[in-house]
Amino acid sequence: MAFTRSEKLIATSSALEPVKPKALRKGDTVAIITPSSPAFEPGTLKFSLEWLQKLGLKYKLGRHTYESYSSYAGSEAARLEDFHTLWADPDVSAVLPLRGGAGAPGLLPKLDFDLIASHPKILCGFSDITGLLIPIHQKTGLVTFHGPTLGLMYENAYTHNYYLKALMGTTPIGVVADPADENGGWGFDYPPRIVITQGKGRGRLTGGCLTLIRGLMGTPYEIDCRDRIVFLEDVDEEPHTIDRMLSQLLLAKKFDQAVGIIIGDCNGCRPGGSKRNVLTLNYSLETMLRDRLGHLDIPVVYGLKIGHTIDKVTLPLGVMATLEATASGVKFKIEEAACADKAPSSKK
Amino acid sequence: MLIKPRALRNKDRVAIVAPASRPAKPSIVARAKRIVHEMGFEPVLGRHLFSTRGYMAGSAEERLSDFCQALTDPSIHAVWAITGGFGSIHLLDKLPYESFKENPKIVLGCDDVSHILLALYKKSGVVTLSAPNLDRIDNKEIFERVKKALTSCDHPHELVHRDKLLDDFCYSPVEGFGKGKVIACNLTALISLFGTPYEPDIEGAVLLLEDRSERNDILDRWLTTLYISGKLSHVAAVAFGQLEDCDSRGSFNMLSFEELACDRLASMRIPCCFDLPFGQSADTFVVPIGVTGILDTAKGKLSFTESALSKD
Repeated sequence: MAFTRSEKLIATSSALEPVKPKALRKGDTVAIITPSSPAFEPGTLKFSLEWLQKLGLKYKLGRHTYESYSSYAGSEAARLEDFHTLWADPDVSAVLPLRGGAGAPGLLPKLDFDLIASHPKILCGFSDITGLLIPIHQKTGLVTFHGPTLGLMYENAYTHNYYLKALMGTTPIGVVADPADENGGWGFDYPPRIVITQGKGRGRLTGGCLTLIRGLMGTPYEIDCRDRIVFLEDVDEEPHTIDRMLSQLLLAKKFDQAVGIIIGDCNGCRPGGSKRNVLTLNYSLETMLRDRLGHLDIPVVYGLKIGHTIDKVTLPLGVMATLEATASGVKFKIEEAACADKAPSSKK
Repeated sequence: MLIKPRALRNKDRVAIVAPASRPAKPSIVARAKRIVHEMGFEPVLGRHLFSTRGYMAGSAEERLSDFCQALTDPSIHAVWAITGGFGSIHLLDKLPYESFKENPKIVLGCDDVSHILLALYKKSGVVTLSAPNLDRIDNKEIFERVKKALTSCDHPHELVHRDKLLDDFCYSPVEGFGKGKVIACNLTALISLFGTPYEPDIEGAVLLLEDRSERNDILDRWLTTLYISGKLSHVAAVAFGQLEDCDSRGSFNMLSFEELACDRLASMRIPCCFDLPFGQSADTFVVPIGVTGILDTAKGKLSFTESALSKD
């Protein structure tokens, strides 16, 4: 098995110390915002509030949470106002977008990164929220969380446990497991963890929804993959669309700089599966991944539970992790705690 | 220094290639050969036109081999894509940009082939032509328009929005003029090149954008990339062409693309207009990438101030 260049990169990558937010505790207050699309329906929010209550958390609601403009939760000005107001609120320990959808990247040019850096706190979401997680992590050094949006954190036990471990724990998440087989061995959970290329890599985590990562390319918020384990996922995009986005990252040398790649269980990313195109093309995501990424000299794996599946692991951007892909399987371990006991001294 | 390929002459050889998806059926290839022949040229078929690999006309190697062969063979004078689809982007890091710069020739196509047109223009400085792929040449008007665009050294034909009822109507939310090099392309392809060495320089450009089969909010996602990149505020003007089969997909509360695009462009006071005859269908005009044009958004008119091709 080829050990990749990641071994010699440990020294350089650990020089970059991330800013860790204070772990969420019982009695803390969280802020609910909608930086992308609005709640599907009012009931979604009601369920979420009940779950916050179960966890012993108080909440504040963004003023514009119920607004709607095209597919967005209000104008960019309204969504920015909620984000800034609640982020700066000293009572708020975590900012939890209710859902993704579309619209978060449009906030970036007017997002106040100095304000964000001066009030380090938890931000957790996925999908369209990737458009905030990566830029905020890169511009402020803050560890941000790629995990369920508020409305999805109670979807099932696997998802919920990883969510609590990441946001409320101060110890490393450790080895990332797959959901236990609850069907007594019947049926199958596709895809299993598939090794595209073997290898071992160690580096800080970055990543998110591929559509969003592609949309940040060529902008001041473009993903930095240097010495990173990069995780990618998407939903309802056909293999050819994923192919085009991966090809873009390949041309930009993003994967030459990375030390490992994890492709999540991309829900609905099947030939003919797109809601925008109906094409029955017999070329699966796995085949495409082997064609496009099979030549890389870093570990590349596919099928981990990240993103748009009901089972989702919460992954902190910026912490050290290792990825080992061998003939016998995939081991993915998060080595470093994402949250601290106390709030970090804020940058003024 | 902009390099202009030589205009085609009678009996010139034109390569028919499939750098992305496969032609849907053999009759399309037979018909394409005949179209090129009727224009007065000699058609030369790529070896792997009928190869299949997933959604593509063969592996990246096969498609690259056909395309490079056509690009570097001195007996071939133009390279025309038979269809778009997916996969052109795989060829970009292996195209012979240096030799193409030394021995330029006409390259034309659209849709996914936009990736190649933009990359050849960016890396070799050669004018490329956005024109229908061969599988969409289906009437006399487009046949004559493309033939003229390939053989004439005059300034390219202007593009004017034609309303079927109102003589001089064009929807222009920001009226004004923009003068600059014309970057005409598929919006998705343009964004796919962002952050790569093949991303075109759009500063001061007249941007002409089209797309097909996308939902309004997806198009808005890519316009947002242009906005947050900081590059949109430096373009001279923007015209949207055909947006075939682009809509809200039945969502009643999703705004139109015109409204979403205007949220970006109107606040920056960038002259813009909609529905120019530019795109993938036979209603399009041929638009050279890289030549200087003037866009008058109030009139919905794009005219060119120089030729796209050279005599020799």
